Amino acid sequence: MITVSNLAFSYPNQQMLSWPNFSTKASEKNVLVLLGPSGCGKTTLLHLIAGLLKPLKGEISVLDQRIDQMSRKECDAFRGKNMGLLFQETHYWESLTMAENLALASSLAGNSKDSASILSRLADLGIDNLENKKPHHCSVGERQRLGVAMATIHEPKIVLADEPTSALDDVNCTKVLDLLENEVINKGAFLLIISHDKRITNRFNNVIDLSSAAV
Amino acid sequence: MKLTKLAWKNTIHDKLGNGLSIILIAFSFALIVLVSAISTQAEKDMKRQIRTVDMVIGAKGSPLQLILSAVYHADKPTGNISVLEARRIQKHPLVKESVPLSYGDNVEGYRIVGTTPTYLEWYKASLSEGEIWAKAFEVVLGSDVAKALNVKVGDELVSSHGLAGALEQHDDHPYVVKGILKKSGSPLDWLILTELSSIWQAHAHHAPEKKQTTASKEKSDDELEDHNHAEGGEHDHEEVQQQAETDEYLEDKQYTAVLIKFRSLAGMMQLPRLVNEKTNMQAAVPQFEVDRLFDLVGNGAVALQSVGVILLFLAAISLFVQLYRSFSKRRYEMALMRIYGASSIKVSLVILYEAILIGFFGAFLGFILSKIGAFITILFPISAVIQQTEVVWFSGLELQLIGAIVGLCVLASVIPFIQNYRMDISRTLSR
Repeated sequence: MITVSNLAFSYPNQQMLSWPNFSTKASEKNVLVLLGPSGCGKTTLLHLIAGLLKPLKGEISVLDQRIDQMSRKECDAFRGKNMGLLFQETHYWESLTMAENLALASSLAGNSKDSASILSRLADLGIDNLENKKPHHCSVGERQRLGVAMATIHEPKIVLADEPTSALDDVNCTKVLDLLENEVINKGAFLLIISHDKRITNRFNNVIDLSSAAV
Repeated sequence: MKLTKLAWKNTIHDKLGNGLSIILIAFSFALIVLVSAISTQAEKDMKRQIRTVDMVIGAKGSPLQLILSAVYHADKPTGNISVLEARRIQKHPLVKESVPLSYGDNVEGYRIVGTTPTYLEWYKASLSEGEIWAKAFEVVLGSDVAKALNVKVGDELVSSHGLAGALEQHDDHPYVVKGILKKSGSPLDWLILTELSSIWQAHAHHAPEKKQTTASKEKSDDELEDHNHAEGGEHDHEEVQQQAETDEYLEDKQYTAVLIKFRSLAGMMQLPRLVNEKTNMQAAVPQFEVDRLFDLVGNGAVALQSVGVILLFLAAISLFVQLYRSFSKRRYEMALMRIYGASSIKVSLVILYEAILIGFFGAFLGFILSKIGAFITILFPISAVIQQTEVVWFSGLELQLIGAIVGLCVLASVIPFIQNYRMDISRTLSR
């Protein structure tokens, strides 16, 4: 699904970042955890895989397509269709309700859902009672569920999660990981998590340690 | 979900910030439209009222004042003129018709104008009740006067000397209301009309002594007696007219002004100059004076409209600040749209839609405000001269303004649009 080789990137006036080669093709399970300490370029790597950044050198293939060679427009369309992104802090559209956020996410990704499907998705995550509430009126846990729903509403083939548990306590960490397992892995999509949270490696054993990445 | 719905939701979400821009746009729109409507209506009204009058003769002074006082009854007269001198012009072969006016009294601020029934014909005024005056001290009221004074046919009115207020009451000469006119949208609506001799008799004691000859004084007294006698119904209006025709009787009588209608354009070419150069009177041409007035008034209207335009530019600046602030605050939301596959241009369009929506809201509110303003000016006229009589529901100016507002809104959104288009999603999400 995802293959990274000889990858290097540099922000202006900053040191070069590079990462070890890896490929998810050999993974038995639909999950890969990229583990590494702060500052090793985990988020940069995720952004490179999502096509939000262009590498300085190297190759990135996602679903057998060279995302590093796509134009910005192609990249946006490809990402929208095939990927879902989950962040440490849930991003949402403040003026919209929970249901409307899901509707817009699916519509932008080109996989519009009717209101019944959206309600059913919210029900799957146990937040259907918050359908008409705006996210900023909900708790952090409820917003995190919304984030998972938004990342998966358009049925992507890959979900990229950036530090999804780092701000959560153990109970909520387990809940989010359960959710990701149920909503992503068990539904046949591939889950790529980047994190420095050891609780994740305790749960999923397909891990690449990025601490060897040259800085 | 469509992007227009997102733009709509964003617009109504930030009520305070967007509300300020909408209010500024609305007020500028309403101010520009209302000032334009009032000045257009005023010009139309004033020009309509002078259609029947080719020339006005009166005492020497400001020609504009003469027109304003004699045609619109909105200013003090320039003075009085001798009836005999005025009659020489009235009988000129180039004059088709004339209407003499004599005034100097009021009832609670409403002018009493001595004239002839021709005056009513010129303005196509018709009676809603009662009949026209038949003798001195009988009056016909304009519709607005009747309404304001709350009087009916048969009531008596006591006049006061002067054109406003109650300086000196003519208790000895009460006027009897004989008729009430239908509303005509002309100055007649605000006037109390009567026989010319009513004014002369009421002011008999104000006439200059050297002109108040014994003969005429006796005549005046006799005349009053006659009129008192006439209240018993024994003589009529024609008798008064015949009496008024004698030069001896008219020697000390005065008109305030005479409205003239020419037979042909030759009158316009010759008579004003003749009156101004060869008599002690002045001639003023309403058309010239009203054009001159609107050159002056027009500058005021332009100044007011300029305030509206400045407000509109302030609204555009406010909108730019609002959009810029809103965009900065919602960078994550814009980046999120890109994450879900929306192209840069599609995301930037949301900003443009929001700007256009704010512009339309502002223009719509401004449209409503301008119509409310127009209704208020109809209910509470600015003056007797400028009476808003109709609401223009939609004009070319409004269409142009909507176009200008949308254009300004698009302009205000250009910088946030470009910034959004060039946004680095990775950096935005990493902040």
